[in-house]
Amino acid sequence: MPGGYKDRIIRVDLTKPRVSIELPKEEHKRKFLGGSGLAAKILYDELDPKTDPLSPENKLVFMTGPLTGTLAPGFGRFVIASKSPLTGIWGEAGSAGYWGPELKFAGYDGMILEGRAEEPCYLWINDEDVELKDAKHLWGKDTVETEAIVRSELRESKSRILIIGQAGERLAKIACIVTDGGVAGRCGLGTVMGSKNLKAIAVRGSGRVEVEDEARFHDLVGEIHSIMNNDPRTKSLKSYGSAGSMEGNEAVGDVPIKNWMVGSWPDGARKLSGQQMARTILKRPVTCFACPIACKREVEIKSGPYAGVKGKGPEYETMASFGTMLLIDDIEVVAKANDLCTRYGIDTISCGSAIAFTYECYEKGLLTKEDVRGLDLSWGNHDSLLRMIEMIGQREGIGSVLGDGVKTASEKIGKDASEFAMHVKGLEMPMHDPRAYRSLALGYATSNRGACYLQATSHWVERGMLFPELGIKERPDRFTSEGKARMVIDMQNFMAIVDSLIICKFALSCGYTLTHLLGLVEYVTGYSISIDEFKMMGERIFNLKRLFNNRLGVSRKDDRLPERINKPSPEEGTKHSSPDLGLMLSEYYRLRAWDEEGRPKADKIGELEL
Amino acid sequence: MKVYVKLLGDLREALGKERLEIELQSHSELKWLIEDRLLGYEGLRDHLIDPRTNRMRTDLIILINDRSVEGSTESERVRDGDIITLAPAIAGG
Ligand code: SF4
Repeated sequence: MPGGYKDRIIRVDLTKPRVSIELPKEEHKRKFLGGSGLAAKILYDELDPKTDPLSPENKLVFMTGPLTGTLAPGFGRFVIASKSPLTGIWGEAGSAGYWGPELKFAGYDGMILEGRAEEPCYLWINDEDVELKDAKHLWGKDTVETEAIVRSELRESKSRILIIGQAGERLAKIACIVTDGGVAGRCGLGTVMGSKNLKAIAVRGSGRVEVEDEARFHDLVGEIHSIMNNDPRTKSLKSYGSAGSMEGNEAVGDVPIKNWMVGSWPDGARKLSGQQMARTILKRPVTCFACPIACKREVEIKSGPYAGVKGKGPEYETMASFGTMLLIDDIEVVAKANDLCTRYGIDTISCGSAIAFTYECYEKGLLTKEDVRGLDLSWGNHDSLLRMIEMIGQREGIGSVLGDGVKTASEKIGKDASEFAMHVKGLEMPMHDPRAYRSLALGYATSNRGACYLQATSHWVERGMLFPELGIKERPDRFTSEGKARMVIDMQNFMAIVDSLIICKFALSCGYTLTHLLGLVEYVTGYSISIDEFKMMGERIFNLKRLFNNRLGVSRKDDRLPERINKPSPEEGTKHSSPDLGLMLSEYYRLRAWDEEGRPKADKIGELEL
Repeated sequence: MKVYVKLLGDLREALGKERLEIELQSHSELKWLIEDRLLGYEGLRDHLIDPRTNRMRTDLIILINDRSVEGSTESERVRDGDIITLAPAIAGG
C-alpha cells in the first residue's frame, strides 16, 4: 500500500443499519487521487441520475486526500460530496480544521453514507469501532449545544465532530455541516445529512499517516514552511483573516454591494474589514491541523446589544454576505449573524444572498410588510436581518421559502423576482464580482457546483498571482474577455487536483508551487507524477463532474449568469463594462473539446480514460 | 509636484497612517514613486517587494485616482494632485 492512504473506506447503510469497510481501487487512486476526485468517481458510478437528493437513495461521500493528516502545511481539509438538494446537480463542500486528519488517524480515507435512519442518530467512529448512537435527545438542538452534549456523552474530549443544526433537520436546502474548522457550507449538504436523520459524526483516531520517504518529506516541509513564513500573505491572513482583503477588494469593484447593484462603498468596506475586526472583537487567531497561517478568527463581543457572542468569527465571504450585500456596516451585527448561522447550521453565503434578495423584493414592492411578518426590510436594517436568519433556521414564514435558496424563492414570489435572484444553477453567487474580474464570469458559469470562484480562483491570476509551471506567466488585463478561456481551464484543472489532494487554497496562495505539491505527493505516496500527468488528472476530474451534470441535463443553457452581471455596474471599479460570456464560453468549449451543448466529446472522454 | 498616497488594509496598519503626501522633484514615474519613495517607509517594504524575486510584487492593487493600474507599472506616470491608492496582495478570498 502506498504511503498517505489508509486504503479503507467506511460504508454506512443507515436504513439497515449496517457498517462495512471497503478497499479503494488502486486504479482509482492513480486516476483520481482522493478527495473531490475520488468522491466524484464514487458518485458517478453509484448514483442513479434520477435520485431525489433528499431520498434515502442519495449518498453523502466524505473524503480525505492522500496528504491529509501529514505535517505538510495546509493539508487539514476534507471534502463532502453528494447530489445537491439546492441545485439538483453535483454538490460539494469542503472544510479545513481537524476532522479530516482525525478520520485518517482512525484508519480511514473516507466514508460513504447511504439510506435513512429510522430515528435521529449520530455516528461514532473510534478507531476500529464504528457505531450508530441515539440522537433523539439532540434533535432540535443547535450545533453548539449538540457538540457539548456529544463530547460529554462520548467522554472523549479530543473527538472531532461534524454537526448539523436545526436548518438541516428541517430540510432547509441551504443548510450546511458545521465542523471544528468552520463549515462545509455550500450546496445544502447539511440538508442531505438531515434527510438521513443523522445529527452528527464524531471521530477519534489513535493512528498516524505513513509517509514513504520521511527524510525528503521532512526537508521539503521545512522548505515550504520557510517560504510561507516569509510571505506577506501569511502574515496578513494571520493578523487579519480573509476579511483583511476587504478594502482592497472593494477598491477594485470586486465586492458585491446592495445585492450586486452598487459597485463602491469604501466606508462600509473599511468598517467590515479584518483590520477593523482586529481592533474590536477579535479574541485570537485560530488555526487548522498543521497550518502555520491561522487565518480563522475567534471573536468575542463583551458589551452592547450583541454581548455574549463568542466563538467562530466571520470570514470575508460572510462579512460581505451580511455586510455589504445589505448595506450593514456594523461588524458586531455580522458577527451575530454569523453566530446564528453557525448555530442553526446555515450557509452564510446562501443565507446573506437570500436575505439581500428579499430586501430588494421589499424595496421594489414584490413583498409587503405583511408578507414578511411586519419586518422592516429597508437596506441596512440590522434587526430584520437577525430575525430573518432565525426564521430561515426555524423554517418560519418567509424564512421557509428563503431556506430553499434564491432560485426557488424567486420562482415562488414570481413577477420580476428572478431578476434579483443572484445565482448560477441554483447556487447563490459568492462575494467576488465578475464585472471586476472577467474570468470569474466564465468560472461561475462553468463551475460544476454552480456559482463558485474556488473551482478556478482565476481572479488570483488577474490580480497578478502567477503559476509559471502551469504556463501562467503573465498577469492578464482583468477587464478583457478575450483569451481568458485557456487560463480558466488551466486553473479549474489545477484546482480539481488541489481539491483532491486536498490542500487549503488559502495556504496554497502563501507560497506553494506545483513542484512542491508534486514533491509532497511523491514523498508521501511514492507516486512519481509528472506535471503533465498532474494536469491531465485535474482535467479528468473536472470532466467527470461535468459528465455527472450532463447526465442530469446540464448543458449550455445552464452555463449562464444572472442578467444583472451582464450589465455594467455603475461605479468605476468595474470599468463601466461587463463580461462577454458568450465569447468566452465558445472559446472555452472548443478548448475543452466539448460539443456546442457543453458535453465532453467522445474523443476527449477516451483520452481522459473516463 | 505633490501626490497623495492612500494606503488600504495591511499597508495602512503597517505604517499606522492612511495618507501620505509626497513631493516629487524630477520623477513622475509610478514605478519610481513606489520603488524609491515608498520603500523608504519602514513596514511597507515587506508588502511591496516579493521576497523571492526581490522585485516589486506583481499582485499589488494600485489605482491612480479611480483608475486601476493593470499589468505593468513601467509606463505609468503620475501628475500633480493625483491620489494613488495602494492595497496589498490578495490574501485568501
Ligand atoms: S490557511 Fe486558514 S483555513 Fe487554510 S488551513 Fe490554514 S488556518 Fe485553516
